Amino acid sequence: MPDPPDPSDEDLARRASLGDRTALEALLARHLDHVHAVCRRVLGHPEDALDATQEALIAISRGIGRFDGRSRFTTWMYRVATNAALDEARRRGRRPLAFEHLPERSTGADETDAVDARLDIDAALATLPADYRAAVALRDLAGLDYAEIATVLNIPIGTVRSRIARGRATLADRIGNRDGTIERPTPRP
Amino acid sequence: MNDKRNDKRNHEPPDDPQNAGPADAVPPVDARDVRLSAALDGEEASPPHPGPEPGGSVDDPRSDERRSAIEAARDILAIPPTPLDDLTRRRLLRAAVQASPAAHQRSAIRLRRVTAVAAVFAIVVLAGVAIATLNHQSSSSSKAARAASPTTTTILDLHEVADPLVLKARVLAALGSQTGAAVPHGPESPDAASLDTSASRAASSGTSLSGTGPSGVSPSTSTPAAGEAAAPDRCRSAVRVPQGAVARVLATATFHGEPALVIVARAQSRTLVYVVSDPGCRLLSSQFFAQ
Repeated sequence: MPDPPDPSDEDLARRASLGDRTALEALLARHLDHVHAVCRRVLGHPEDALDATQEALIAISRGIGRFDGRSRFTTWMYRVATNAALDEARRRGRRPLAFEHLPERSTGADETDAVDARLDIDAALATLPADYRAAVALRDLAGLDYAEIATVLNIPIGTVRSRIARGRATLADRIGNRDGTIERPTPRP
Repeated sequence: MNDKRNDKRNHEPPDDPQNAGPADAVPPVDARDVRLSAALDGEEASPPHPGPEPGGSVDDPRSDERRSAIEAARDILAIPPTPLDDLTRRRLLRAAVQASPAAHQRSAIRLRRVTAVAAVFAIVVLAGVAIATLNHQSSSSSKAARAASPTTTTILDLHEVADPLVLKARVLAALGSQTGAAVPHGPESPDAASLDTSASRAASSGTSLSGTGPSGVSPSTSTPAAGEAAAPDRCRSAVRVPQGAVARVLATATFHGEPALVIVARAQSRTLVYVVSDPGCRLLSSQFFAQ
């Protein structure tokens, strides 16, 4: 006998709004990594991202009763997460890790490629404002379409288009300039 | 419409003052990059007007190279951040779930239940105290009533009543005391101090108020309190009273030094008085007078 299909986000959200603690926990567990990814990408700082993730999850938990089901749950959730990250960015006034503060890149091991890419992302996006990074994160990490991103960020869809292009172009330029090695200052003695 | 506006914004600096990033360092975006980026996502904007596109066509060779670069950037941007460790995940989830209104509601419900139980307990305790107080007061009232009503529990002591005049006077005084009248003083009207309760006398002398009834009931030893309760019935059947009259033990006394009971009965307008021995219930004296 096949296992019953997993309940949808909207079903879990409806049950959670009625006080179902198990449904709420399942919903949050399902999307915790997505929320954290967006916060991490917007803030560029691990600790700030953790704080924002916590704030976002609490806001989702407290506000689940206000989710009316007219849009996808993820659209609502990413709006909450993005706002938490942008609030955290404003509160801390902290920019993403500056290029010179990034850890040294490992060499030779294939498994470090993803880490290297993350460092490149942080370094490249550090030159962009937080809400530009939010547009890029919502598209390339969360997979939202442009209309959803426009809804989440409350900006016109054309602005979404240009912000995503700007983020990608910035990273493309950095990749193109590094000729095999990431630009990195010589470690101080 | 938005696309037109967006084209104007393409080279504008960030206009959001809330941006936490280095707004001044935002590089201008090329219109071709916007088209290439949007094309990768299938989100191209329809061209506002026919003609050559600003920044060059997306089909020229340079555009292919740029498209590849932007596509590579997009792929890199899609790499998720380092996942959280399990401990951190659990901590985040626990904090979020505990912050839910349902959790608060459960806490509130639990608090309400505890409060309700405490309130019920307090009400029960207060009710118990109130009932106990009422019972105490009722008991006190009953005791006071019994103390004021010789017909029920209190037996007076008329002392020596061998003299018929003294007997009459003291019986009248005793009857008067039962109705709240002042007890007259003197031999004709014995003082109130002489009207001790038999209970106190029995307690002080250690004698029992019980006796052997004419019906052959065996004498029983009783406490003064029990004697008080038993006194009204004692020796009542030893005297003959007119039809319709009810005899009752009025008081204890002595008759020529012999312990005795004074029994009275009301018949029409007369009061019948009998003095019987105690124990034994032997008739020692009797008289009647109008009252």
